[in-house]
Amino acid sequence: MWPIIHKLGSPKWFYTMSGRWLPFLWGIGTILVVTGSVWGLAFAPPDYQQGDSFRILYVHVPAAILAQSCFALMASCSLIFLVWRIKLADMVAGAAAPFGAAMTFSALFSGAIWGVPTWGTWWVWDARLTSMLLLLFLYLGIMALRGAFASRDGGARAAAILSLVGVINLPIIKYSVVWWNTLHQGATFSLTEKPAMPASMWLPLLLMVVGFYLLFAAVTVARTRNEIIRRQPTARWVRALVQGGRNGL
Amino acid sequence: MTAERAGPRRAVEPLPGLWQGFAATLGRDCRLRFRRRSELANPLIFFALIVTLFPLGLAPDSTLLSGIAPGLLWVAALLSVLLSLDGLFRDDFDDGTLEQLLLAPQPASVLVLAKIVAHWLTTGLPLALISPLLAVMLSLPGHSMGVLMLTLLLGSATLSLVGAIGAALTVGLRRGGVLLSLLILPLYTPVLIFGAGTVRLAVDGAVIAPWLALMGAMLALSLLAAPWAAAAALKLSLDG
Amino acid sequence: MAFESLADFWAMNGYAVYVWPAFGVVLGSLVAFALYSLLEQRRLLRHVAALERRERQCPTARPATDDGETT
Repeated sequence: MWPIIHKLGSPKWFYTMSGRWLPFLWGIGTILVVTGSVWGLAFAPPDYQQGDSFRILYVHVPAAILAQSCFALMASCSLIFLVWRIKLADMVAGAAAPFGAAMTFSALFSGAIWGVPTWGTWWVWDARLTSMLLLLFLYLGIMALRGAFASRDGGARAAAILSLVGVINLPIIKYSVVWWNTLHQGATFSLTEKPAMPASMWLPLLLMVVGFYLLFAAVTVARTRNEIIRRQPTARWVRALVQGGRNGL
Repeated sequence: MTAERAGPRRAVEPLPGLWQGFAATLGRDCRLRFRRRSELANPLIFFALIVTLFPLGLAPDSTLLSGIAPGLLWVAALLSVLLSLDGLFRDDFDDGTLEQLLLAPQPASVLVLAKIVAHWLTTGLPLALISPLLAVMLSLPGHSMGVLMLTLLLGSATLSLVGAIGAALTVGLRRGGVLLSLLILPLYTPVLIFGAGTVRLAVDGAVIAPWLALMGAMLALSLLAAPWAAAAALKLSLDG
Repeated sequence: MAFESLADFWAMNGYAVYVWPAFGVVLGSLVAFALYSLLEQRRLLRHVAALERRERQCPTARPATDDGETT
């Protein structure tokens, strides 16, 4: 068990392994997202109620799913970092946070735009939108806290503790917001209560979600690789890598 | 040789136990806070000021004010607690007491809990006690005063506990105050929602026992997790 | 194809002002992250190469280590 964990936690091993996988992640992810976008925008039939504005769903839903998955990844990496002191886990958590924040913002932005033709307003204090907004603040807080510390290890541990506190709080925030919302207004605008979608509508969505996940993995891996080099610019294997790259070019 | 020397002395003067450490820290913190009376009053004055600002900003209409009173009082109390959080560990961090506290033989989380309890006794408890006064000014119906106090008592304890994590994370930073509010306010939202919501239900005369139970559950959860997380955060603040 | 012509596709039956900005922001942020990480990688590798060149000229400066951890 222990050798495996330490092998997985070795930056060098990660760098070499991920180098093999990274082109596939970028490639397949891009293909899926481009296919899903073209399919969703041009070929999927318009919704019988919302017309063509429903096509925002094809970017809104993947962004919203990614925003939450990214937090889950960040929190699990934080736990691994705090318990086993594996620095690689912290690098992954640090690489995932800005992407999660960007996805949360994207989901909020596309949701607000979608709100205009659907609800007639940019913003409603809907349970999902509100909890998404709070999620964005959590991401911003974690990123700001990491940057505020002078020492890298201090910032990493602080961000990890806050991520774990945040992940315990997220379900509570979510349920409290839902309760608050039902207390306030009877009419809830829910996407889940719509009739089942035909395959020509949900297949492009599936492509988009899988594509977003692959691109998320690619971005996180690429940013983690950059962080490895940034932290160890004088390691022998990094030197060898640069020389190999130069000879290869 | 050392064992021989340590043995008899330990028999004469045993190490203080868990409860003694807790009580000593609690007593010390309360005494320190009561010696600085002006600082003690600051959150209360802030609370009263925010509540005064709202009628000035809105309108002196009593039906409007009584409608928004539960939320307004709760937001004002929450901000007052937030304002006082930076002082929770700051002085002890600056003069080195915190380091001694974490070196003590008792678990750091228990001693941190004592400091949090002292903070609640001097912030949350007085806030809850003076809230009916301000609620009368906002013409909150009389029958919901008790519920307001009860939710503030329960809720402010949760606020102190959760806020201690943020205060511990930012105590080592030079300009931690603004960052502290960014970190803590999203975590405060459930307490605000249930606190203000319960008072609103009480105004309408609805059943509030389940919501009070939920607030108690939040308090229990934070009582379980917050001292431990705050102690870990304090350790890293002292290292960093 | 759900649209009659290309002009129809761009117009999105009147929803163009909503659909295109939403796609632009979400897909744009993906592209921005991809480009940024690639540019950053180039910059870092160039930085490591510069470090190494400097070291070859002045060998006592910062020798390569096994883990190379700098804090």
